[in-house]
Amino acid sequence: MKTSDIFRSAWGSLRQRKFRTALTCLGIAIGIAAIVALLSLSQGFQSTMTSQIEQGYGLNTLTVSSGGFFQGGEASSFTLYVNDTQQINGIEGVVLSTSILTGQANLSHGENSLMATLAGVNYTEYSDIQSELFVASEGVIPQKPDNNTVVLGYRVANPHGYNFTTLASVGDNVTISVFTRQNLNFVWINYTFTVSAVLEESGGFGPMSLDSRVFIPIETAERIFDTHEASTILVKIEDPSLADEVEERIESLYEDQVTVISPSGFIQQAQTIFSMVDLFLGGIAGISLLVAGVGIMNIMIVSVVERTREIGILKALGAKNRTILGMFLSEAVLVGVLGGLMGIALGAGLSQIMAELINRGFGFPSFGEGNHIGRGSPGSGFLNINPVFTPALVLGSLAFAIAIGTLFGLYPAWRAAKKEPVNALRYE
Amino acid sequence: MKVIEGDFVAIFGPSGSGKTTLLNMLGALDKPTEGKVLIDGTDTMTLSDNGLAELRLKKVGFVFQFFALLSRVTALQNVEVAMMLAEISSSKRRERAGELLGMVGLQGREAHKPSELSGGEQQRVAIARALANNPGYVLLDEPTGNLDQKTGQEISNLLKRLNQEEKKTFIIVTHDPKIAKVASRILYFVDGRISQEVKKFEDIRYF
Repeated sequence: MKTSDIFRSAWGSLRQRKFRTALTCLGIAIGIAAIVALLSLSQGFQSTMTSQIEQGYGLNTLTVSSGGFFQGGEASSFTLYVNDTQQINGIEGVVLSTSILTGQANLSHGENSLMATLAGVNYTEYSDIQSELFVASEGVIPQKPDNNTVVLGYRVANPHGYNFTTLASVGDNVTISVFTRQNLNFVWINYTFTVSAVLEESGGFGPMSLDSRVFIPIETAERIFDTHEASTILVKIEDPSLADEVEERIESLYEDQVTVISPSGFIQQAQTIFSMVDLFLGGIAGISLLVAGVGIMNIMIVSVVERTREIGILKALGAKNRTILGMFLSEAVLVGVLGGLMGIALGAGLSQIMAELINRGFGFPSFGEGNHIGRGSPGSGFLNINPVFTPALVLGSLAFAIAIGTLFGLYPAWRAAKKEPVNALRYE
Repeated sequence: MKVIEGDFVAIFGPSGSGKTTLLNMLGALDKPTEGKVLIDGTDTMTLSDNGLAELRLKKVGFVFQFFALLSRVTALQNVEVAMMLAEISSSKRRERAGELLGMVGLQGREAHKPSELSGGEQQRVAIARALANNPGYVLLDEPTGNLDQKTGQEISNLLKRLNQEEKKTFIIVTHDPKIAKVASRILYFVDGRISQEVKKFEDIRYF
């Protein structure tokens, strides 16, 4: 029997039992939809992150921090100091380095307040290294730092999810409160700053994003937090191709007590993590496909029993075992194809809905009551994920659906094929 | 026993005499445990399942008491299925299926499903299907057993006509004297063996 005729007759028999076929396909479709939705979102998240890292730091920027970052090593007792930049500046290939000192603080203006990451920076050096992102949309970033100036990230000035739209604008006096210990007492100490600029929206997510940061002169930060420890030092290098060499020189300067991250290295490490996440998500969705496969097998075994007489007739007419096998197997393959296509469409829709929810900040609620000190934060920063459907994802999941159909259709088809014609004909 | 092309043989005997078993062996559905079945000189004992299927496809047509039509497809498609197995192109087989249904007197009934046809009509579809691949012979197992007297007679006449006009070879297995009478050779079958061969039904002597 010709392959085209085998598929045509399989199609006819599936149409004969529309409801049953639809339910069987649905099982496959749910599993495939889960795979497509999860992996396309993960892909979208990766590409958003990668482009933001490249854009945010530039490929000629290294980040030096003490202790492990992604290495998962034990916390290092080693600390970087703000004036370590002097030594790093002396390294061959380095154009400029600047320290960042961060800490948590509450920012308030009038009745409204939120928690934010306070970053002490040297405005001049920092805007040189982060020239793409450290750009004022309102006001001017002070060139000669006045100790009482503050530059607000976009999401700090215009937070999500608060019952006020703008926290503060240029020229406003804001209060920064730092929780600290005075002998045996814990107290909030207030400082007053004048907003001199609000940054342009930079995108990015989490605490990495400039949008959710409050910038003050580093000398002021050293005073407020009473420390000279730098959380990170940004290093600008002459050329991205020198990244590895300079990285090694910095590491050897500190005898490997620091972690130096280049944007490309960071992206690589992040991708390693993402591929593990993908495997995990794909594995979970894959289990649901196995369940769907068992469903196919179950339905097909019933179908083979029901159609015993038909099998007997076909065999009497001269159908070979492999023809019968092909007929039943092609039904399973078609169920895989249909379920796969349904699943891809369903998954595409689902991922758009999920992306929309994530982009609106679902899952990162930031409740700001406004007048309670210490509550709320600028939220997750601004995330913009678009699910990415690579041909590999679409074709791969379709192939997977077909493989599941084939695999679980094999046994019932084999049972159909090996029926004795004489007995099958007698079956009522 | 021996059957040659153009024969119209009836294997007549009481129920339980092993007629259906004989038919299964003659039709290459089953292999004999003793003795030999030669189809065009090929011993069925020497063939694999595949070989037997191939033989059924090319040499044998079957008609069963309960018609054995595929219920989900039309009369025309039922006839086509046999040719589909023989890998005949769809335009060719549609044309031939139409001709065959015409030959058994079913013009205009092609698009009906078996459930929409009478018993006699269903049996005609089965006969058309059995003839689809120009088999060497057609085996009929109680072809009138599930039909009323009148329809049974019509089927008998149809077979007679196909044998005389189209030179089709038929082997009927039956316990119904009326259809056995149509055959030109009658083999009386008792207890698993042929006891007499006669040309006329009336010549059978019962001991």
